[in-house]
Amino acid sequence: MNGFPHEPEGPCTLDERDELELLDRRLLNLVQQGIPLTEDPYGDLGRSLGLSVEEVLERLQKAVVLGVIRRLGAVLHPSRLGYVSGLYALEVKEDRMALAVSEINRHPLVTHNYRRDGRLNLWFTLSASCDEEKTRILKGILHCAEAPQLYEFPSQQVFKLKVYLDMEG
Amino acid sequence: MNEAAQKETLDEVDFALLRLAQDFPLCPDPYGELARQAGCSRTEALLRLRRMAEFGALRRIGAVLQHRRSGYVAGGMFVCQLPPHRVAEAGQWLAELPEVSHCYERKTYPDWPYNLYGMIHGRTEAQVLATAASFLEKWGPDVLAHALLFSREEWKKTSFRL
Repeated sequence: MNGFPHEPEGPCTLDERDELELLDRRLLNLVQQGIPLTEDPYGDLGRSLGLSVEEVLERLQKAVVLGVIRRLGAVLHPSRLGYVSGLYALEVKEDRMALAVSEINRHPLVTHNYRRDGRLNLWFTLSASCDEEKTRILKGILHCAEAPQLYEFPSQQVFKLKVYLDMEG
Repeated sequence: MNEAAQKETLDEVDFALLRLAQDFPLCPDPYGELARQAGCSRTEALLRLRRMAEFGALRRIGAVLQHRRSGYVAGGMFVCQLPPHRVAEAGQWLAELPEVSHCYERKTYPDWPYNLYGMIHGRTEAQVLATAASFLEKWGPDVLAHALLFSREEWKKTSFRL
């Protein structure tokens, strides 16, 4: 149970996977890599699969309704848009966890927040509009979590950033 | 180029297009639809979006799948400590694995010495473990410490939005 309405609960996945035919899976693989920046993007996607624009739209609509597609749209690069992005972790005691989680989650600029195994048991990402905002938000979080220290993990080299789930595999 | 200078190259119409494209229309002429709402022609909208894609502000327009609904229910952050001169080669090797979505060299701390991070996805925890094991089989002699930190609760997962 995680309590987030957009994250359907339970194991669930097998039945939904079965509802997707091979063509759906191939389409999902293509559309994860990108909708082309062309005059007729859905037509171009469909052509490689032998599908019409209408069929592409219908199949994508179904994947949205089933919840297989979480979001369809622009994937942005926060730091290229002037935002200060980062990965952060905390060591939070169990009796402070709920409070820490709600303080972190209430910020719309926090995009991910996970409990993980290990000493640093709470990990989140934040894209703030400026350094002052970043400092203010992190200070509030550290205070609520009563953690000994906030760990900031700036990336020093990017080897890969590609979320791609092979739906045919 | 610094961040401020990068930001300056985008004008209001660019930002309007990015905002609108965050919820990409499922209709036969999606760029025409975005253009109408942003107040420009479809040709201009496409030119602007292509320019932003080239410059990197727009990574892509595409589908983000829901891992759990897609059958990928297990996820682990693999962290490991390598001698600094081995990180680049090992990082590139780890990044090549299709099961790895994010792979970075990150800042270390005296009490958190890991410098290489890879997010591993699988349909089961065993698959995730097997992927980590394949890395260790190859790089084991260089690895000073490592851990596989499975995600136990997904408290929040959304996308960055303007």
